[in-house]
Amino acid sequence: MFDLHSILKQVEKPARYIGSEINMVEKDPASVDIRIAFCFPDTYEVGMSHLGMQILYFFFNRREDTYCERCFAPWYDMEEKMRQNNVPLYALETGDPIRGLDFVMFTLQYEMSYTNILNMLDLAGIPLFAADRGEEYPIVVGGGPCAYNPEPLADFFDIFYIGEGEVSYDELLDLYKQNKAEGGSKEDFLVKALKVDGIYVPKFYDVKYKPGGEVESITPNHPDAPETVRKVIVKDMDKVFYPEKQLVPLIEVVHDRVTLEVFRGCIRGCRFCQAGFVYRPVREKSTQRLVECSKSLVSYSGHDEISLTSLSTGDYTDFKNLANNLLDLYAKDSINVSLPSLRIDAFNLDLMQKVQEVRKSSLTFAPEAGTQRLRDVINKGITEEEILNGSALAFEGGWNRVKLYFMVGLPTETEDDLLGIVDLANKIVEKYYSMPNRGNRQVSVVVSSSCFVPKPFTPFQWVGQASVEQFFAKQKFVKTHMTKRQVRFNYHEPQLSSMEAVLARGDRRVSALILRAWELGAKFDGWNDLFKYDVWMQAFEDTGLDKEFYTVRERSYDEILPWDHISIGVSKSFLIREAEKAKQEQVTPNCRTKCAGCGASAFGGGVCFE
Amino acid sequence: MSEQINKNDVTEKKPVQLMPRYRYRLGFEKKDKMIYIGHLDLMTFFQRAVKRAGLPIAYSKGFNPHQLMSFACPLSLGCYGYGEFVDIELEHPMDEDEIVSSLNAAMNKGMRITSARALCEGEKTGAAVVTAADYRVTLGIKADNTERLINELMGLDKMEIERTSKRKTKTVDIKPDIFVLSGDNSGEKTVLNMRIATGSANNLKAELVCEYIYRYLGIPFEPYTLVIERLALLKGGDKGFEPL
Repeated sequence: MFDLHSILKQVEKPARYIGSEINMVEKDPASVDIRIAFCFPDTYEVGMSHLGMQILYFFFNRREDTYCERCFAPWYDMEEKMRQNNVPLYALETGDPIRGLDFVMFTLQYEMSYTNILNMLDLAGIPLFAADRGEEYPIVVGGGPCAYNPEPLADFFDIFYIGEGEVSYDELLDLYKQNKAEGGSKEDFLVKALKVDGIYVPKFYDVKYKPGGEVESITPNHPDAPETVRKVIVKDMDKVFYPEKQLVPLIEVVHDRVTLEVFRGCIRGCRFCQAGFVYRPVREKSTQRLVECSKSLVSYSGHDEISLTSLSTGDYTDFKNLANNLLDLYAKDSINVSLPSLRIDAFNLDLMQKVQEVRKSSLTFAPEAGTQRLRDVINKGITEEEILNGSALAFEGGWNRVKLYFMVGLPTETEDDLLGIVDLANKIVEKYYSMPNRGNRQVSVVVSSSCFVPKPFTPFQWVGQASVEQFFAKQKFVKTHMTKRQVRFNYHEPQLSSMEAVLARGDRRVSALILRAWELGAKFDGWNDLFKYDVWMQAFEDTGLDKEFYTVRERSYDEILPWDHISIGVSKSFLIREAEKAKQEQVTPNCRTKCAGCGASAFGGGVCFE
Repeated sequence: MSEQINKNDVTEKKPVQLMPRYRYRLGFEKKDKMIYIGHLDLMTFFQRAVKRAGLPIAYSKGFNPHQLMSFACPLSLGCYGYGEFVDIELEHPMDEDEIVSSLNAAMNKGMRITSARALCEGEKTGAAVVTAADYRVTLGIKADNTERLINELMGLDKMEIERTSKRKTKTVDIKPDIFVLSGDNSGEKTVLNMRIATGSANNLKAELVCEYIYRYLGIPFEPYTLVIERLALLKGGDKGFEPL
């Protein structure tokens, strides 16, 4: 390790940069064949809260021939000190510069972290463009949800891993080791990697554009490169690797608790939700396996909270049993079980009361849209009646705070839908004051509205996004009608959502934009107060790219989309069907009620075969 | 901590019978990279370590039960601690060595439990009795003549310096809070040894003493160049200090 002491004493929260956490894996780097830096392009506190990192960290390190270390984006003060003192970005476990490792793997959790990736590569002394990296540099890999449309990052990465890490990484690492032993080059390895399921090597594909800017073709330029790269997923969640330990951070992070992954995927099929499509089909773990995992995680971590994590945990088929089992097991040890937001019925209310005896936290609903009509359009299966009845039950149980999540700018939205947001909030307030046993306290309803961002691999991937001006007008419209003093209205920055849309549905040309924005000082764009819209506007100007082309433009079904050579196993024809049903305000029942034939059954597991 | 007295017992002559309590004072070291863990995080760290070690820790009663654990004196971020103390209460008695070994199995590099001692009935918490601490501070500089410097300093009537706390800046005289000060110039850099007031009544930071000296010498003060080591926490006062 460098002598970092004098730097660490000059920065905020130095513990972000020291590793040494409980359950950190220590290995002799000289004794392994493969060294990996698992990079999270955001702060330590955010990255350490990420379950995927916890899983893959221990997954890689279970291999004797591999040492996986971690790396996060240093905060401004640390970056400044590192640059002043020529300290290259290092891995927390050994303090070795990540530049010297075999792999640098970034998890792509949200689009607004892309400039941080460039910043981290730069801090590491690694050339940003894959084409500029010789044999001496690590292989740069991207995975995670944003890898499903990797094109805006294609020029910076050697490999994108499409799907769930547990499936193909062993094969990829074995190939790497073999290639290294045989004295093969990086190029040799990348060619060999083409045969591994779920591996996308962007340089082996050529993209052509039409005069109007749309993609004309995406063609493999190597005989071994598949036409389409299909995601890989775990079939049997009970048999898949799950760590028995968790890294326990030494400072407070965003989520600091034992995390149990209950299932992957979501049965709901909300039409705006990318996660709901890309993680299909739903695959559950058994209660028995979950309880087993929880025991070792609790005893190795010393945490006092267990959280159940999944997209819609309340949909777990054995939910009551699991919740009761965990509550019974851990109540005596003062370990809390934190519940996800649940549909409010009598059972769940009882459960909620059990877990939060003292402070009644607020009740959360995510209707997403203000009217039933628009909720049908987006296929959000929650009704006003459910929300009001749920609130009534909770008010009787002593709750008096309600949080509501909405989106503005959804496809087909009208002023009526926006007024519906106000109306629903008001009805909840009225419901509270109509309750006979409500006590003397005031009710508080917090309405949060975000701006709709169309995402790849959703039925809304073709729609034009509202413009920044339209978003502002919509928010203002809602705000002026929000007159009850018990209701508070929060809303997101439209500029940020607009940029998110560019990066989410961008093609390879967007690489230049990201690079330019970073050069102009963009980083930590996901942080509202650090996001610099003017910098991005300048980057558009400098690169000659047209923002509107990526945001407000509506695509036609026959347009080749930049991510059409990636397959999530859900067919395009299904997405078109869903898009059409949305226009006709028709709902699609959830996967358990009725199979909608999305194509994910081809994976041969999960809810499709229950 | 709730030491309840039953009203019916008050008339009796015997001392009030309390529930037996099993309290222990643990000595510990905080070094290596663990010096970058602040006090609040250190408390969380210990709570989790106690759980990993499976100690039968006692919890407070009430709405939000917490582990009965109290640190003798917070150590500033970035400082080494070789003689730190924390008091814990257990549900039932345990062998002291076993407490030490089970906790050490749950520690990471840089944190080590060095001792455990059962507290006597009614013995005050570490935090309540700490009055002083011994520090060794390696300065970022080598002073010219340490002996003369120390003599000069100790000959002063007052040692006044501005201290900035939360919002206010005020001038304080740190002289009365310095019990012992000596220097050692044998190494590459000047080392100061000091015994200074520490604890709830009077608390002086070693860093402030150094800042005073830098100013006295007319050298710009860069706190990050100091290596501050707290060697011992002490109790007592006028009649002499003794270990906690």
